Amino acid sequence: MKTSAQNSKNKAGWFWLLLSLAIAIICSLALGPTGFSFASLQIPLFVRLPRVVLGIFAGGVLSLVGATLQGLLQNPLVDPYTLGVASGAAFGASVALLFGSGTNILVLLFSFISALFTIILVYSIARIKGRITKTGLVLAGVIVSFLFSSLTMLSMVFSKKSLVQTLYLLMGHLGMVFTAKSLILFIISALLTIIGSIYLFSYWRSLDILSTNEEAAESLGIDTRKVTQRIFVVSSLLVALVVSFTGAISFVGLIIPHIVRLVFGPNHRTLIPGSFLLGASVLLFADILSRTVAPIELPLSIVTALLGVPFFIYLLKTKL
Amino acid sequence: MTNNRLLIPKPKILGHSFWLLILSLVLNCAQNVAKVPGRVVCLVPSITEIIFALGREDYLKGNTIYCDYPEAAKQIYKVGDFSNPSLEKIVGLKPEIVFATMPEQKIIIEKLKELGIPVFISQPVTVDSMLKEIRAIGKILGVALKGESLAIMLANELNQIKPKMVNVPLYLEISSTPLMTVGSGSFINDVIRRAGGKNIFDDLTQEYPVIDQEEVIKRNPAVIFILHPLTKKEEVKKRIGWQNINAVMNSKIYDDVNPDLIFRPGPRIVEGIKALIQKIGN
Repeated sequence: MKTSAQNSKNKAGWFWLLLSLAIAIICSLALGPTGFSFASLQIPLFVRLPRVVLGIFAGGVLSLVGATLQGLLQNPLVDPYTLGVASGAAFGASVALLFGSGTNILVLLFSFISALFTIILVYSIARIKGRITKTGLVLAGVIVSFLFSSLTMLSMVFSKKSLVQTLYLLMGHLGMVFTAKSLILFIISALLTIIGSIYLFSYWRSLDILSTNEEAAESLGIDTRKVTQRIFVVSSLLVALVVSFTGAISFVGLIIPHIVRLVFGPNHRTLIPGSFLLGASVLLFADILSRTVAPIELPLSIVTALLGVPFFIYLLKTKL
Repeated sequence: MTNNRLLIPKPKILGHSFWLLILSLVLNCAQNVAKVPGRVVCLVPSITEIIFALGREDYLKGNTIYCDYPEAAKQIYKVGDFSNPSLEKIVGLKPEIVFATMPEQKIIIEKLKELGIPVFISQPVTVDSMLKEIRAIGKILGVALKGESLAIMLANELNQIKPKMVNVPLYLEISSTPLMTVGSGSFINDVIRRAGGKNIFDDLTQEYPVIDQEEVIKRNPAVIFILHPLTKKEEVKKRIGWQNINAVMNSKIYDDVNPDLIFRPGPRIVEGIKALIQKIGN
């Protein structure tokens, strides 16, 4: 099927993706207020490395889930948050901030539990007459999103101090302060997302068929309903894990898959891993900017949008 | 039957002279009141505390949900929260003066001024300017002497306070998700200075900046104050990469100072500064 020209173009594409990720990782480890020297690697290894891993994990997973859902739901405007999980997670965290006392782990747990609850809620709303439909899922997700956004705002109004905290929760940031406990929790979550990501990737063939011709999928022996259900649940769990740690970083999950599609074409076997790599490096670059431009940290969504929108417009104008 | 009273004809003899008398009485009262505003709305928790300290709480017709000290301040009619008070509720109370602060309440202050309601803008940048404000508020509320004596008393107490050390590098954490501290928001920095400390982030112009934990490690505070309920000092000690900070090595992390004591420019500031000194010099 593939021509050799396409093949070599793809090879060059992979090379650039891997190179940019490598540069992003090196810059992230080397740049920081205390500088860098090989004599004392303590800060790069213990303070910056967890942040880098968090960035790769968040940017990669959000973009990968975005690519998967856009394919599954045949909708270019779908992003990881369309299914309502992010606002559910943000609501859980804001409740923890409102009533919480104790540890930061409480915020993590609250947002994850709330995200799980959201998944169940969206699933049961979308289940009409025992069937899950794509339209049902998107509608249920959007409705539940609005519900939890309002509830988050409500808790903001009732809280006395956490206005800025809620803002960073809704705009995302990687500046989490790890303790040994939360680091272990993070490593477990990262391992789970790797498994989940591989699981989603394993559906690449079905996604290729589903995203072009749904009727053909049925006749080719693909159980559309089951595939939709499984991808929905696994995607939501992945997003829940990410949002619990970083807050709702927007933009990457929507735009990165489009950029990769423009370069590699719509084939999910390349689209899914490509989205992971590009999402990870874009988020790392965004994070470098968010913490080096000023002594204060900017919410990540601001940077991702400011970086990504011009680049996307450029791609759209030149590649199409 | 029950409406019998309404059937009694009005005593016509009183006529105009009666109403004139009433009118003159009302006017007279109004004139007396106009000298000292008897209807006050306060949008600033610290000024609510000052009004109570001056014994003028009976004038206070409305305040915000943040006005929680003294206990009786909670019982006063609430016109909203600190950053979003309701204009309608404020105007409905027909205040003769409103106490507000900048820049958080800039919009509501402009609206009140448009409606011709006098506004006292509180913006103390140092402890000394707070004392000046106490005097001014005393005058406005017709208790100038009491304001003067409260200011003098606080000034005396402040003069007696002698910090055990000076310029101790200090980190104040007001949130851990994200990591937030106080910038050059001048009042708290003056409080820290009087307590013998120096805010390590006093070069940042934002009032409550979000910071990179590496900056804290780099600036190496000798004392850490945790002023939010979400983190306890034991957890700070366990933070990865924080082990070499002086405050962590010497275990000078405190999570039990009431933030209202040091953030509110009010009569309790003496108590707040004393609490800081006690921890810093420990």
